[in-house]
Amino acid sequence: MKSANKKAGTITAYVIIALGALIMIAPFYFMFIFATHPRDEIFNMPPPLLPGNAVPMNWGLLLRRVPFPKNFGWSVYISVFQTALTLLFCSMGGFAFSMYDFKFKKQVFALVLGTMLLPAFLGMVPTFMLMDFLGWLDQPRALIIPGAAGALGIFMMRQYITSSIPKELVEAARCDGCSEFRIYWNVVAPLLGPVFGTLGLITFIGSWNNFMGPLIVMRSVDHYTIPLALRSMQDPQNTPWGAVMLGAAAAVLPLMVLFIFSSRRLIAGLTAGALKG
Amino acid sequence: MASVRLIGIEKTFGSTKVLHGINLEIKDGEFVVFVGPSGCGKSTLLRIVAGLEEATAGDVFIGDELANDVPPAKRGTAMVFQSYALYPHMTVAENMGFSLKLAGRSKDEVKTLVAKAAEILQISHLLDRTPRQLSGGQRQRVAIGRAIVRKPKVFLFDEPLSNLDAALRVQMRIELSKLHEELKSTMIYVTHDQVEAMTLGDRIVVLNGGNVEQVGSPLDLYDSPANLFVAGFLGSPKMNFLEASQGKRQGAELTLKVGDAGQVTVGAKSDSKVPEGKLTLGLRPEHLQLCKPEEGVRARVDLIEELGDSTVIYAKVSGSDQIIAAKIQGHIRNGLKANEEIGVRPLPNTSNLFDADGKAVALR
Repeated sequence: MKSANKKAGTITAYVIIALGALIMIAPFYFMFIFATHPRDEIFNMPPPLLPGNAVPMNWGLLLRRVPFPKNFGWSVYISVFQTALTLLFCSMGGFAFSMYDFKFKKQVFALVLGTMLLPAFLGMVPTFMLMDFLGWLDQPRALIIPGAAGALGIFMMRQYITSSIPKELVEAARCDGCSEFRIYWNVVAPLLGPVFGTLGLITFIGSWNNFMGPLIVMRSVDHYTIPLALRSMQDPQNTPWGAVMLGAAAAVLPLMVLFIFSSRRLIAGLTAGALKG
Repeated sequence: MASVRLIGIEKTFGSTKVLHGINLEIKDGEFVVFVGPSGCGKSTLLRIVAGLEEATAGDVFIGDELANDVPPAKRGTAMVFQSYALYPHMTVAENMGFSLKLAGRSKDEVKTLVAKAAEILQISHLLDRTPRQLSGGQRQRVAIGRAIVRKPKVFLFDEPLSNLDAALRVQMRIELSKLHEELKSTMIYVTHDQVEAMTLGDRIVVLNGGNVEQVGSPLDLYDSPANLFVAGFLGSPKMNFLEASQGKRQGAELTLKVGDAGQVTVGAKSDSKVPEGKLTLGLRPEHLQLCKPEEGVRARVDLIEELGDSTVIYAKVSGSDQIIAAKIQGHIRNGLKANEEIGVRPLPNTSNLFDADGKAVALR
């Protein structure tokens, strides 16, 4: 009796999980399918469930409306740079909070964490004004630099360094004659692989999908990133949904590949420090 | 090589004072061991010498140079940490040569010096491995090798053997002794293990609660502890302390009454000054011998531990709850049993006596 109940419970659990997975996967599936159909077929009832043959047509439409390869290039450029800078500055910040004792350390750290409580929208107008003041509007640095040291990244790095890098290692390096930067660069940074992987992925994905940031500071369609370029294709009367979906599919593909190869590392990094290794 | 002089070293963490004005002089080429219980400040003192911790007050001299403001790498000291602190992403050779590389030595020079140090420590075959591929003992050798290559004036060891198993600890202890003989460098060694302290040090510094309790050669400290703390800290099983009162004095002999349990006769110079009032008699277990109950301190056997080479008898002193330990060489063949009444008395000239403040009374 007990085992029959257990079996029923397991089956129910699997059904719920499968339904959840279906709900999660469906938008992706439809995005890829719609990318292969022209606009009018997409709005048929029932909608197409199998791949069509309108990819060349949608691709042509996409290129006519926006400079898609250029937008793709900007997305890559901005995401790669922002990720690299985030890893550098956040790991330096995390290293400082973890390894040094200085006045008002707790208060400064609380202030850094406090920035996570502010909604991003609150910064829209000041960001625009600041970038305008600096003359950075329509330039990629307006996207790369403000996001180069986020509270989440500093927090993750601090937690990882505190739990995984023994203070004695830093002291040994100090005895060996390392400068403080060299301790960070030669001793600590090479040991941050897992958390670099995790934060790198999170930052890259965030930057790749960032819509609001480019919307505020990017002016010309040549400098648009993919999300902004795809949004600019929509108009009230005649949005070429097949082309938009093709663009979205092309944009999401690199991330999916990246995630498939690094999901294990992402999860390992997120749980790092939870248990003593 | 250099001497180390500590003058009035104080250290405060927040509102907690952990070192209360330490004065100490370590001679050139000497092997000095800082020993004491956890939290006594021995590691903090070592870290102050290394420059990893700043003293709240006082001066550190390394050689003739005031080192207070000299950064760790420039002090001419090299530290071996308890956890080895090897760089996990570097090979053994890179670990050992890292400080030389930072000092701007040429690649060939680094290679030669690393090879030489590796040869001394017999780790030449491990140079291309990373720390994770090494056993605990090998890692410790690499950590020592990393210190050797720098040719420091002073070696600093912070409990370097405490992560090793018992057998390896003994082996490494012997090797450290040999290394000191070979290098003839000044070495400061921190440990809470009294066996390491006794076997390694030319001199031992016993620390307690941020103060130096006594400084001296291992046998001086063992035979003539300055106070109850040092007496109790060195020796295993630890020294027995029995409350005693002064009895009669006859020539070079002093009789002490141990409550209702009997009396003990100890050697005492006729001009030795034994204070009146409460006294504490210190008897090392290995200096006790069994006798008839009426000839020494009466006690009832509580537990017998056969160690093979010796036997430790724990017995309850008559008229009190105190347990006295006696370490007898070899096996006990006469069938001593629990609850049996025995007598114990010290071998001549082995007893220590402490006054009411816990300070040693000079008997000899």
